[in-house]
Amino acid sequence: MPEDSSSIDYAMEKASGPHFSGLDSSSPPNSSVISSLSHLRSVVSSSSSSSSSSPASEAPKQPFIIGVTGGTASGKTTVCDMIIQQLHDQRVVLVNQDSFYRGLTSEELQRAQEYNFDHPDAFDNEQLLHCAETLKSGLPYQVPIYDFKIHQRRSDTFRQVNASDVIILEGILIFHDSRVRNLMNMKIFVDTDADVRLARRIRRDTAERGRDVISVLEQYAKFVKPAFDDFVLPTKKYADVIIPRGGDNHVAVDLITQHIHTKLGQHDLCKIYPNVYVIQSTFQIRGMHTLIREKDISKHDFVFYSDRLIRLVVEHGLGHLPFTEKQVVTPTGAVYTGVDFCKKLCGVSIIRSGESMENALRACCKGIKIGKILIHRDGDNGKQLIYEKLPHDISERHVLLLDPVLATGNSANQAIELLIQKGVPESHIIFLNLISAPEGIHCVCKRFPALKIVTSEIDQGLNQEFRVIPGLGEFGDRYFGTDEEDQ
Amino acid sequence: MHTLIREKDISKHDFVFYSDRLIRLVVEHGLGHLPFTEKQVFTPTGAVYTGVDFCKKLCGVSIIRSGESMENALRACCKGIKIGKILIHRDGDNGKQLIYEKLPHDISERHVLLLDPVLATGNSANQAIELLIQKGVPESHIIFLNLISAPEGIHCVCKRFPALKIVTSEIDQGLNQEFRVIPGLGEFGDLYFGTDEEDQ
Repeated sequence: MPEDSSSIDYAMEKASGPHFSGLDSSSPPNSSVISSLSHLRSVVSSSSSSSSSSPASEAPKQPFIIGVTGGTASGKTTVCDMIIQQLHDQRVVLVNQDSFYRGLTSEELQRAQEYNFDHPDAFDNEQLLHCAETLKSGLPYQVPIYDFKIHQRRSDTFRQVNASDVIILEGILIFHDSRVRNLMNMKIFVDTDADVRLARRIRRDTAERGRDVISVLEQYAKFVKPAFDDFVLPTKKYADVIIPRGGDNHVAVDLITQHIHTKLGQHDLCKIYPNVYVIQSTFQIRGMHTLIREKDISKHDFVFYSDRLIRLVVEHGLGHLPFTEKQVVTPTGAVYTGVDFCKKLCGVSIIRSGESMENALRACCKGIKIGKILIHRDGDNGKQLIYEKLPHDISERHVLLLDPVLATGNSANQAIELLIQKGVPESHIIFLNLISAPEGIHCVCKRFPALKIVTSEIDQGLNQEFRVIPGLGEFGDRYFGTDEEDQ
Repeated sequence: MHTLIREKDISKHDFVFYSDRLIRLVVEHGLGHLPFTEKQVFTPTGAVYTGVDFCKKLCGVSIIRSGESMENALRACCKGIKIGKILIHRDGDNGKQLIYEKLPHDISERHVLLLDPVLATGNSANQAIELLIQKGVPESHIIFLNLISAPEGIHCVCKRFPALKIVTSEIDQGLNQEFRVIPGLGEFGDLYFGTDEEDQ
C-alpha cells in the first residue's frame, strides 16, 4: 500500500540525517524536525495570544539567517559580498565569526606563534550564539571588533548590528556549534582547493595582516591544516549548498540569491509547508482585502469584491491541476505547443460560506459538478457532519474544496476526511480559501501533508472565540446578508 | 487556455469564453500596477488591518474593434469605469490613420488602461499612445493591456515610450510576411465577434 512504502522511505531518510556529536545536549536527532516545528508553533501561539491583547502589533517576520563557511581563504567573504550586492534591495547584515575571537592573555601573547587560532576554543562561542539569537529575535546587537595585528579585542569600540531581513553569519567554524546551526535557514559551504587557499592565505596575511611568509607557512602546517581536517571539513555535511571555487562561481551565487529572494517573498508558513500557496500579493488584492474587511462596507461592495478575490483564488487553484502537452494549428498556419486541461474535476463546497465560491468556479469551468457538505460548528471542537451529497465517481476526480475562511481547521479536516473515506487520494484535493489563520494551516497541513492549500492571505491568528484576527467577521452572514443589521 | 483559443477549429462560444477568462486575468494583473495609498480599517472582530486604498482616477481606452472585447472584463473589475474609444484603420503595414476618437475630457488627470488584445507591428498602438499624450496624459500613467504580443511590437512601443507599462499574457515568436503574429491566433476581432467568412 502506498502509505506503508512512503513511511519506510521517510524512516530511512530520518535515520541517515546528519550525525550529531555526543556533545550535543539538545534533543535527539529524530525529533529535530518536530522540535523545530513545535518551536515555531509556540512562536505562532505566543504571537497570537499577544495579538489578542494588542491587535495593532504585528508578529515580526523571522529574519532569514544564512551561514557561510569553508576553509581559510576559500572565498567565504567574497561570496558573502556578492550575495549582499545582489540582494541590494533587502536589508542585509554580515556578522563575521572573526569578530568573536577571544583576546589573548599576556602570557599567550608572548607565545603567539604557538596559539591555535583555528581551534573552536579560540572563539567565544557563547557570545556568538547570543548574538545570533538576539538578531534572530529582531533586536540589535553590539558586535566586538577584533584587531588581528595585536591579537586583542578593541575594548572601547563595538560595531552596532541592527536586525534585518537577512543575516549572514560567516566564519570557518560557524557550523561547529549545533545551537548556532539550528538557527540558520540556509547553510553554505565554500569548497576551494587547498593549494589555491594556501596561496591566497599567504598573500592576504603578508599584505593585510602584517605577517611574514615563513610564520604564515609554519602556522598553516602546524595549526590551520590539522584544524581544517579535524573541525572544518566535518562540518561540510551540514551544508545545504556546497559552492566550488568560491567567489568566481557566479552561477552558484546567482542561484542562491534567487532562492533567497523567493524565500523572503514568502510567508513563514509557506517556508514550512511547501504545499501552501498564497496568491501573489499585488496592491489590487490588498486593496480588495482592505475593502471587504472593513466593518462598515455596504453589502453590495462586499459581494462584489469578494467575488473578484474568489475568482482570482479559483484561477490560481486551477493552475495546480495536472495537464498534458498538446499541439494545435493556429489560423495563420503555425504550430503552437500548448497544454490540455485535466478532465475529471469537481468542486465540493462547505455549506454555507463555501457556496459563495461556486459561482466563480462555474464561471471558470463550465458545467462542473459540485458536491455539498454541511458541517455544523459546535463551539470550538466536535464538528458534526450533518449532510453530504457528492458525485458518485468522486474518487476518480480532482476535487476543489471551497471554504472562504480557514480558522481552527476543524471543519476543513472533517470535510477532507470525508473525501478520503470516499476514496479521493489526498494529493488530488486542492483546498481553495480566501483567508487562513496560521493555526488552521498547521492543523490541516500536519494531518494531510499531500493536500494543497491555495489562499489569498494568511492572517495573524485566532482570538479567544476562535475567530480569525484581523479576519473579516462571519463570511457567510456578510455575503448572504443574514447579519442582524439587515432590514 | 492559450492552447484552446489559438486552435483554428475552436467553436465561437469556447473562444469567447476562454478569451474572457484570459482577459480577466490580464486586467486584474494590470490593475495591480496602479498606485495606491496605505489605509487602516477596523474589522468586525475589532482588530486593525493595515491595507491599501485604490487609485481613484482611472479610465479605460479601447482600440475599436478588438479592444472592445476587453471592456467587459474591465467593467467587471472596476464598476462604472469611464471608457474612451479610438478607431485606427490598418492601412497595409504602415501609415495607420486615426479616424475616430472619443475620450473623457479630464483624461489628463486619470490613469489610462489602454486595451488591445493583439500587439503585432505596434504601429496602431503607437498612434493611440501618441494621441493620449497629445491630450495631456503623462506617459507613465498609461498601462497597455494586451493578450498576445510579438517581439517587434514590443520593441516598437517600448523604444518610443520607455515610461509606459505593457502587461501581456504571452509573447509570441514573431511576425510573418503579412505582419501577423506567429503563431498568433488569427484575427482576434473577427473570431471574437464572429464576423469571419465561415460564419453563416
